Amino acid sequence: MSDPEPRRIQSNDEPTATSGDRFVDALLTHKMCDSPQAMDRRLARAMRAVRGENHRLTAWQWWALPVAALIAVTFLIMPTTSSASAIVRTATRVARLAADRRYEVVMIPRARKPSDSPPPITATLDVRDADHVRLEIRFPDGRTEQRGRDGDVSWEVSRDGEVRVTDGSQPWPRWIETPDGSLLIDSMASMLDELEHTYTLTRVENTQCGGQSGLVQIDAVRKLKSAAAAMPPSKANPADRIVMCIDPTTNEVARLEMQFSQQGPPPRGERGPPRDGERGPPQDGERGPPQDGERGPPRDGERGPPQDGERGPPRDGERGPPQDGERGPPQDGERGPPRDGERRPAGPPQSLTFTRAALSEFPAGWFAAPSAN
Amino acid sequence: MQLLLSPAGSNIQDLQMTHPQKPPTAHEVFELLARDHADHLMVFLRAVVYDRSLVDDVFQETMMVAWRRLADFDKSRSFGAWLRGIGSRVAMDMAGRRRMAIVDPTILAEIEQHSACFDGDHALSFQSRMSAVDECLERLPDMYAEVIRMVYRTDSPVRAVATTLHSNEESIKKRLQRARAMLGECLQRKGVLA
Repeated sequence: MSDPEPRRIQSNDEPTATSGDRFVDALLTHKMCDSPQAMDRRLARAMRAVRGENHRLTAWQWWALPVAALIAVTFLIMPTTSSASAIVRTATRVARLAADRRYEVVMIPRARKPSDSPPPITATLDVRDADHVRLEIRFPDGRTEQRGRDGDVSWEVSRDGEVRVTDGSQPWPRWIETPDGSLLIDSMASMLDELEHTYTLTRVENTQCGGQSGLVQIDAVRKLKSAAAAMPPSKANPADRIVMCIDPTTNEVARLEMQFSQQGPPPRGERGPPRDGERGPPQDGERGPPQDGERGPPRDGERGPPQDGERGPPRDGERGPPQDGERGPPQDGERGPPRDGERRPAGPPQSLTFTRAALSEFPAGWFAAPSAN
Repeated sequence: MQLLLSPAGSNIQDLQMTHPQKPPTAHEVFELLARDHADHLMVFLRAVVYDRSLVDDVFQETMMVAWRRLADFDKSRSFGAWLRGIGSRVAMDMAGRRRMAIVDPTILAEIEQHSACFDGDHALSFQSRMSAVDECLERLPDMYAEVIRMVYRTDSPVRAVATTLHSNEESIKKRLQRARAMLGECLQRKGVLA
């Protein structure tokens, strides 16, 4: 994520500026506007992203939901400001504040069939800062799963009760990574920057919000598909609508609900239905010719699909196939495909709701890994 | 993956002194190199990318690409120049994908020349080289030093500076440009600008 640029050199935005002028301007900006602390944070974020590089999400997976959850966390700690857009911008700054926060989370999984009514998954999310996070997930079958980070130590307690502790050099578990592999809580600013571009934010006052009166409601609705499509998918917030209920007396968001399209990406290995405006499979098993303006098979001499199932080499900045020492199959401590007998919910949920719980501060050692016995 | 690099200007020896019994990992080496060259990379990217709000994104992506390509780095060459080369390509790539405005290729090449000159022989740290900027700032006539200070250090928009100095925006912009040109000439005389 990115630090907000301390200032903007209005005098040097002209495209006619010479290279020397631009370089001197950059030197002055660095010298006078950028603090060593800001540089340290920038570098720390980059290094976390590097550490997470081998563990990028390949598809939107349900256990990446905490990504959305932590996006929500930033909303939950921001003060109320005069406009919806200003709220998001404020969240960008406030996202870096360290404070003890607890949220009760309710996730309604996506139904596998229209007639299904899946039971909710609940969780408690405790956050102090990027290095002190604890999440306890309670599944409908009664089992629980805990994950956390305490400074340099990451840990998890599986549903079977197994405690696994890793040192800080291990990548973050996927549930706290952004889709581009960086640590979510530190990438918040840039993600929120993107939010303002891809969501229409409106402020609704004097309404019942989350069943309570006297709260200010902020609605964030995903913009038209054409605008959303311009977003790099790796940074896109998957929610179609975000509803926030803010208490104007305390400047806290009392409740936040994220609603997801039921036509979202399917679980890994499955094909989902096409979204509006996208091409779906032919009906009734027929395959028709391409319509006007659509792409048909390549003509002679035109470029067609890669032969022999190969893909072209990736460009700089894009993902390529794993090289030596790079990403391979999941190792110990990483998340891989579902284990035998384990079923995961199908794709994104119907909704994800956060409610801030009353809390003064966490007790000492709260984020430490539980003992193994 | 274990990797030992000893590019000029790096602090690898610090790492080896900290853990004499254990060779540094590739990630530790990379982090040290990145830390050594991060300031200069930021200056370079700020000069290249028009939209300042996107510079951090380019910086992070540059670091990630550099990490993936670390095995391609020629140890006999400057790590900083290699990093800036990646930064240039990342900026160009992002300019295409995100409609981010960057300088044209000619200016880009010239900025790299300035950067290479600023790098010198790597004998001095970035902060030491920045002392040349301080010296040049001290030599600026007051009317130019004042506008530099007001615009850069106090985070004042040019329009507000113009109001404070009972001048107009265009005059302040010209004075600012002249101040930077004088700084540039001073830095050239000191051999830290091409």
